[in-house]
Amino acid sequence: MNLKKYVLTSLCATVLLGVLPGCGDSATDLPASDTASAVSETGIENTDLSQDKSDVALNATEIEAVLADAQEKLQIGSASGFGWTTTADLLAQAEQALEEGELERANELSVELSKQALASTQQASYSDAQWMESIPR
Amino acid sequence: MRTRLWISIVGSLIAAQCFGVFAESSAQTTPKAMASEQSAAAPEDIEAQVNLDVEVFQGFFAKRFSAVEFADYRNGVYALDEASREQWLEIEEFPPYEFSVDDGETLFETPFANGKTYADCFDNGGINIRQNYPFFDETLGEVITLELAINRCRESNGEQPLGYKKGAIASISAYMASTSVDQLMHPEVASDAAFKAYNEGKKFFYSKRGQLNFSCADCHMRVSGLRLRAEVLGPALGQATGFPVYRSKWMELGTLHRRYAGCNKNVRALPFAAQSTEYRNLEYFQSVMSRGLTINGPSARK
Ligand code: HEC
Repeated sequence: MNLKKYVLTSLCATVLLGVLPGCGDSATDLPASDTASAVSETGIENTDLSQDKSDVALNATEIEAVLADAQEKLQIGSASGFGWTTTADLLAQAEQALEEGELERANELSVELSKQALASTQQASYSDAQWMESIPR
Repeated sequence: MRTRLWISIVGSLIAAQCFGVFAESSAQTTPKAMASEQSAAAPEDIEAQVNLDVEVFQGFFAKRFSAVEFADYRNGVYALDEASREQWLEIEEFPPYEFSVDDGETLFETPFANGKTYADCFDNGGINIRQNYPFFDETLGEVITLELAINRCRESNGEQPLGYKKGAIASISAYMASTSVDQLMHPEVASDAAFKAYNEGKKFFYSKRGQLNFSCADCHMRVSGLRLRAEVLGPALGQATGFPVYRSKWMELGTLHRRYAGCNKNVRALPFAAQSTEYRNLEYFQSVMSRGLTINGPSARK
């Protein structure tokens, strides 16, 4: 290995270990924030209801479409054994808000549901292909 | 201007190098891990692969907790956590599961409507056999756990199956375990079909689940011995030996699959049904990983 490559590799390792908490030494305590780093390993974003107020003009038909799409994804996630306990409630709340004409709330909830539904399908395919990454070495 | 150019060149080189490093490391580990997934292997290859898995798994704990004796892993988290071990030893002096074991014995001996008993369904009259479960039934092509065998015994004698998580089934299983204390767990993986079930359990154990995106291994290996909120995380090694357990939190006995469901729900993953194929395969994998430990169920837990 030449010197340049060596320097770059170690530089890179330092940068990576600094940037990714939990990647260098996995044997750390497990406060809530560790969840976020574990989640980021798979590229699945931790979702936060308050972050995503979208500016789309609110329209019941569109929200219904988002919900239908989310439900499809939810089915994929749970059919492969990767359903989450959080989604049934979200779906029920979103549907209720829609029924009561609270479009802003219905929209927020359905956006959150979509994110979670997508993340659970991503988790299913990540696990299917890369579960062995969790084998500690 | 020049500095900025320089920085961006170095930056992209670092990025490129990083991806290179990642690609290299995953290329190194994947094929070896994947080997266990291949099917239609010769029996001696299966045995070699399973033995290797056991060695790596148990080796992980031997290295991580070098002061803990292997045999002590059957005591779960109390093998690691001195502080709660003291309390636990006190509890075990007047075990809270004692009445349930007595109940279990009565249930075990009470004849079914057809006059037969559980003893008629099991080898050795059901005494001193807990260590033989779970096993892979080559004829049925599935993993048979003790609780499943108890219910199949009932059904073959015209009785209704019992609920799988607590109550009568936990008491009967506790009684049967109590007659098998100190017996060695030695589950075999002896065929392609068994190896497939084993591998499915293994994949389940290492798969990240739920909104919190944790695998069993993330908690019970990578951060075992450390504290998660109020609780110390116990080692995955030995997790199947002490069940059913009387949990102070439950204020009653519960089965291993009840606990599996709890751990799934804690990471906000939808649990599977107790005695589902998924959980039975998981129990099979966990029991193989605990080879060489002895039965000590039922036990008390926080
Ligand atoms: C977020 C962390 C976490 C995850 C993920 C997790 N568990 Fe647990 N588990 C715990 C905690 C905390 C306890 C209680 C302390 C202990 O006994 O380890 C526990 C207890 C257990 C017990 C009881 C052990 C005993 O001796 O009584 C079993 C069995 C178990 N977990 C299995 C699993 C399995 C299998 C998985 C994967 C499906 C899993 N856990 C995932 C945190 C977790």
